[in-house]
Amino acid sequence: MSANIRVAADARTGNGNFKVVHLGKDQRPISVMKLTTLNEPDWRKGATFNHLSKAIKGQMKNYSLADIVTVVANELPISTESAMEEAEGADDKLRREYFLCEEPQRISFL
Amino acid sequence: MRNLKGYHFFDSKGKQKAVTSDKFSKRQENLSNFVFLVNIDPKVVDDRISQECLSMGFSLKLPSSIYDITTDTVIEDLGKHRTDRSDSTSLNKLVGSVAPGLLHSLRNFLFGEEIEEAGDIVMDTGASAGDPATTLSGTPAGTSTPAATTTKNQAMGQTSAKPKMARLMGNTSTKVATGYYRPFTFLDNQAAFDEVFGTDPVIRSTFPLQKSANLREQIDKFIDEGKFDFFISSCRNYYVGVGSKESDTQATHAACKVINLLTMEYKDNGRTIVDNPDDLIGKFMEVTPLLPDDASKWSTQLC
Repeated sequence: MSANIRVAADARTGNGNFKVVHLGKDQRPISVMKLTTLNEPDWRKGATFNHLSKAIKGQMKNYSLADIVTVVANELPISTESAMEEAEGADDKLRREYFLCEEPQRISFL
Repeated sequence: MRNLKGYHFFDSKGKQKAVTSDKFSKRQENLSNFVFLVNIDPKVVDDRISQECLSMGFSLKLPSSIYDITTDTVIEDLGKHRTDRSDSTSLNKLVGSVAPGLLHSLRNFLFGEEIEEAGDIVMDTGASAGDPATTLSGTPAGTSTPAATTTKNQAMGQTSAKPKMARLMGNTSTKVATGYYRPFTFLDNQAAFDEVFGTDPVIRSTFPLQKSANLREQIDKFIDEGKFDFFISSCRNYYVGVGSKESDTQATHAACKVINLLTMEYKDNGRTIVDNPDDLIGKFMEVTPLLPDDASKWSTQLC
C-alpha cells in the first residue's frame, strides 16, 4: 500500500521538474518547481519563477519574511542582495505613508 | 490630505472630547491623544506591490503644555520631542540638555576641581558668561557663605520657585490647565504634523487603555507583505527580465505542445490503438460516474 502511494506521489511530481524545499525553523517541506538556468528562454524562466513565487507567497501567513526570502534566495541562480535592498527601501516608504497627512507639493514648471 | 484623516480627541482617561474652538481659552483641558483614520494604498508607493489597501485607526499622543488660564499664556511645554544634538559635546550627548550650571557642579563633585574664575563654568550650552545662572563667585570650597549657597542653588538649576512646584505648594493664585495647547494645524500641514508628533511617532490603540501590540503586528504584517511583493518583483526583473505580454502565451503554447505529444498505446482484439490526451479524457469522463464515492481516496492516479 505504501509503495502504491509512493508511486502515485512520484507520478504527480512527474519528470523531476519539481523539488522539495524546507521552510522555516520547523523545516516544513513544500514542493516547488525547479527554476531553470539563465540560458533558458524568458518565457520558461518566467513560468517557473511564477510558480515558485505563488507557492512561496502562500506560506506568508505561516512564516516570517526572513524564512521566505531565504528560500527564494537559495533557489534563484542569481544574487538577491540588490532585490533585498530595494525591498528595504519600500519598507521605509510604506512606513512613512502612515504619517502622511498632506498632498505632496505641486511644483509648477517655469 | 493624503492618507490620514482626523477622527476625534480623547483625554488621558480615554474619554472622547469634543473640541469646538481653536482658541486656548475655550479649549478643553487634558486633551492627550488624537485618533486618526489611515487609508494606505500601497500601489501609490510602488505599482509592483500587489496588496490591497489597508484601512485602520490609531491614535498618537499629543504633546502636553501647561496653560495659565488667568493670563492666557502657555507656561511650559511638556514632553518635547528629541531634537538634533549633533553640535553638542560628548558629555552633553550623554546627559542631554540640562541646566548649564549643573554640568559644572557635577564636574566639581567628581573631580574636586577648584573654580578660579567665573568664566570657567561657562559651558558650551549657548549661555553667556554674564548669566547669573551660569556663574559662580570665587569662594573657596568648604565655606558656606550665603552667596555660595545661592550660587550652589543656581548651579542646580534652582533660581526660584518654579511654576509647577509653586502650584504644588499652593503659593500661587493662578489657575492652570494641562493639555494640548498648540495650534490645530497638524492635519493639514505635514511640517506641523512632524513638529507635533515627530517623524516616527509611537502608534497607539484607538482606545488608550487597550494594548496596541496587535495594531503594530498588523502594520508590520502589512509592510512585510509589501516588502515581499517588492522583493519578488525585483528578483523577477533580475532573473527573467522585464519580459513581455507574449511570455504567458509562449508558456501556454509550449505546455499545450508537450501535452499533445502525450499518447497512450494499447491493443484491443489484436488491433493497436493510439489515444491522444483528448481521447483519453473523453474515455475517463465516460467511466467516472460509474465509480463509487470513495474513489478519490484510491491510491491509483486516475487522471
